Amino acid sequence: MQLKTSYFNGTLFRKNLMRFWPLWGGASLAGALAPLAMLMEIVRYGPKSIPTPEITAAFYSVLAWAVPVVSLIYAVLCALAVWHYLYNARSVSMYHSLPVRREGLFVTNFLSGMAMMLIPYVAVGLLTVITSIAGGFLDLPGLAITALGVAGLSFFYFSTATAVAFITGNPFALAGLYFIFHFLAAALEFLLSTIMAGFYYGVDVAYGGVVEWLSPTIFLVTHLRATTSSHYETFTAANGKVFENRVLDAAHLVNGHLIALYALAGVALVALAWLLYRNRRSESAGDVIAVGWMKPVFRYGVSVCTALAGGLGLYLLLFDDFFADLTGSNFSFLPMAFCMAFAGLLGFYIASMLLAKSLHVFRSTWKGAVTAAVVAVALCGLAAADPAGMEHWIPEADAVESVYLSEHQGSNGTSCSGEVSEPETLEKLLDLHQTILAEHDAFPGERAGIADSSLSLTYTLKNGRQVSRSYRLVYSLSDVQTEGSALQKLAELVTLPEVQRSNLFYNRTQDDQITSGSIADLYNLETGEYESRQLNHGEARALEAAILRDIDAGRFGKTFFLSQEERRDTVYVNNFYLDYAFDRIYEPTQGVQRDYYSTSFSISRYCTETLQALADLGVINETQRLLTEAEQNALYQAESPAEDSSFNGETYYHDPYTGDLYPATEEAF
Amino acid sequence: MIEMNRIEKRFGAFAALDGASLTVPAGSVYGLVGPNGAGKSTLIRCLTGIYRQDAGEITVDGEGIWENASLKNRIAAIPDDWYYFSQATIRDMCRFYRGFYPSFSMERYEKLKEVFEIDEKRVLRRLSKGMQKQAAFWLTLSCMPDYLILDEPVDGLDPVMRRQVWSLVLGDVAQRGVTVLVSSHNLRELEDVCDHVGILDHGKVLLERSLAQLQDNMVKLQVVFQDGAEVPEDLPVLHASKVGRVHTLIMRMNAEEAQTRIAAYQPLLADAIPLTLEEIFIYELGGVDYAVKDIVL
Repeated sequence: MQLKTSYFNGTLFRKNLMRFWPLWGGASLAGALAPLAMLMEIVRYGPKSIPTPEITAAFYSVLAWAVPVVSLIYAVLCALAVWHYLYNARSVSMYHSLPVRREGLFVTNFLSGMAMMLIPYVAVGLLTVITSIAGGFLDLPGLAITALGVAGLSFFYFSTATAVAFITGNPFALAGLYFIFHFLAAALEFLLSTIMAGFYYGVDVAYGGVVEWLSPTIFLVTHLRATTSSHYETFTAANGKVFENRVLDAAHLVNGHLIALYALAGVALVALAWLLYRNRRSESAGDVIAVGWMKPVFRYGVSVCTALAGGLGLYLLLFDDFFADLTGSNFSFLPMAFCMAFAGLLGFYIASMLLAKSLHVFRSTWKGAVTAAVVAVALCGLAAADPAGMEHWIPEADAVESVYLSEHQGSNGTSCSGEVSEPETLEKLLDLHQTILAEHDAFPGERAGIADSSLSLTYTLKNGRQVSRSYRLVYSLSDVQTEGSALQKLAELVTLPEVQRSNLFYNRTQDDQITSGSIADLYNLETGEYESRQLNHGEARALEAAILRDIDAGRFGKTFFLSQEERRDTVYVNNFYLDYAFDRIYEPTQGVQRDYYSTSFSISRYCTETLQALADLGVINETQRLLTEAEQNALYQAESPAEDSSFNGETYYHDPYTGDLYPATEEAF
Repeated sequence: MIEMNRIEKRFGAFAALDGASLTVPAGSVYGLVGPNGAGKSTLIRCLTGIYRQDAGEITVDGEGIWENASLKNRIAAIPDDWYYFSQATIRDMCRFYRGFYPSFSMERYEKLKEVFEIDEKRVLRRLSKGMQKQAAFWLTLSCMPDYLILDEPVDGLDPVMRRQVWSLVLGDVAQRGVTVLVSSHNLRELEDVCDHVGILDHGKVLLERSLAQLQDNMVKLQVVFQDGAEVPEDLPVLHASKVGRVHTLIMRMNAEEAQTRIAAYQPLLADAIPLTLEEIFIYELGGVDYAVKDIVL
């Protein structure tokens, strides 16, 4: 029977649940597989075979990624089930002619949908409790937090789907708009930053996730996290050996408060949905957009989105390489404006057709279409104009905390990366950055050259912000030798001790302990064989000290930006390895774990201290030698003289590893 | 009593109801007639609280209908395309209606089972259109409404079942004083059941009267003039036709007045015949450019 104050109608509630039992029944069945799998584990390994914190951490992990993703999809299905009557003229007529107020229909249908959302989770939760009791790892607080989290997320996602359900009058539009709304903010930020990065020299696609909180699933999956706190216990085995074993103390849900915040947002969305229902016209059944004032928002919103996405896609497909000679790797304004205007127009007409449910919209909407195209061009112009001065942005030296730089030369495969923070280094680096921009301003097109260097700079500012820039510098040998050129400054920068120390020992902390080392491909003159040499702790430490002396004297970094001929003569082909051990502390749980890493490098004839240390350690001597590429080629040619190559008066050398021929006089890097 | 006063309802630029006003006296059977697209279904949807009118006032027994659940408890409607849940049986729909209408009578439901003779456990969507219509009447009449709103109610019913349904409806009118508003194109049938008629066209109610008043306001005369003379030009004739020497004249006046006026021409024969509702409908709307057009294809 209907209650006098009819905010809830039991008949409708029961009818909804009975009609759509396959939906929640199927979801419950699928969800029940998880506790069933846990039960099988218990049967297989016996009770208490799984530590309780591990189980709780598993709950939190499920809450952190599975529940948002599953709820995202499941909520729209539940919303379609309970609100579909709004989308059909016959059903909406029947529901709205019943002796129940819109409030009653709204509250009852919303509660029905929430029940459908929660029944599978409740079923799985109960089964999990039973399984946990059977397995002896029941963690009631952990389960309660998980249950609260699930309830909060279910409420939020169903509220979102409900709000969207009242914006539209079409079931397909509900599903489409719901998913679009969930990812729109992140997608728009990505598209905008991609287009801006395309216009600005050196500016990376900087998706910063500034508005990611408006794309809740992405935000939740990236911010919710399950962690465990642990400690190490030592055990002595029967043979007297001592082992360390990590013991879990507790599981933690990181950023769990976000669920509460989104649940609060859900309350606002429910209120919005109710307001929309109160003013909803039954005759809007079947309309893509059921709310009058949202129709122009939809029309121009679709136009802007397609202008960004379609414009970018069209430009990359048609014009990206076409204007490279003029603009380098940057976007060209006019073709991009054309692409965005075209895509914006297309989006505008598609939206107009959807709203009118007719293809005949061209004549009646031409003024709006012109406006959409103008908006697209204006958007393109705004992006290209760089109103924030991103392209020419260089931070003040005293605002910089540190800079991570990464330099890679595609032509010879050398690379250098590391973090620098010393004032002198930063000053040189900022000067280099300024020079790169000035050279580009003077000649923005594609530069001629025979080699290229990719330089990435990631500034960490004192306010905590991070800003990245990437430059591709095409050059020839003369550029490196030209005083004041960007390449000359870059070549100088990478030889600086701080850069090279960071390059070699980027991961290193003061507490790291060097454990060992090795040197590959030492050539034995007596046997003609290549050998490896292992270094013990002391030898590795001595080698490390010598390398550091070479770095400090600026000798180590001289291997960068050499001509190919000089490289062949001076850089040894041997690979050096130094191995380190350290204790890693896992935040926020304070658990400590021993970890290891290695650093590898090559040295040149300029590294006199290192060569002396190797000689002192007996690594190199009369019979055991390091080899440069030129020496290696000479040896190879001596062993295989028939394969020397000379064509048309030019001499070619033979790569001993690949067998390829290379011109011996090439001025290259 | 149902009162609709200057109701307007627009769908974009199109005015489906453009100041429609009508009054359905309590305990009457009111036939709402009008050409296709006149706004009959829109008016009924406004009356049942499905659509909210843009302007004007709708009251039932003095109360506004919009979002008035207690008033809607007393109103049951059968639209021209009755909705049921896709997997539902008549029994399921009975449970559903019982949950909403406090006056729903299981006793009546059981009695009507004998009238309609449909297996109540059959899924509705598997029933024929006519049987679905019977199910709609079965459930709606079980709601024991004080007001019954019917939109093309007997479409799809066979002649016997039509009589049966009207008999049930009129029985409720007689015994319980139910007020009925029925929209239909079957004017012969309406003529048999309605005591009031409203004609709707282009969103406006052109006229509404009791059937007797309506019939008294227009007359059909069969006249034969002397010497085969034609119809005098000064007669106010709405429509004239001739077969042989016999003229059939439709005039907007009562039979007595028509006889008096025609007597002045000393006709050989002058018989007054009452108009059917269908004829009144055609000739009334003929005045607003709606008439059977003599088009030769």
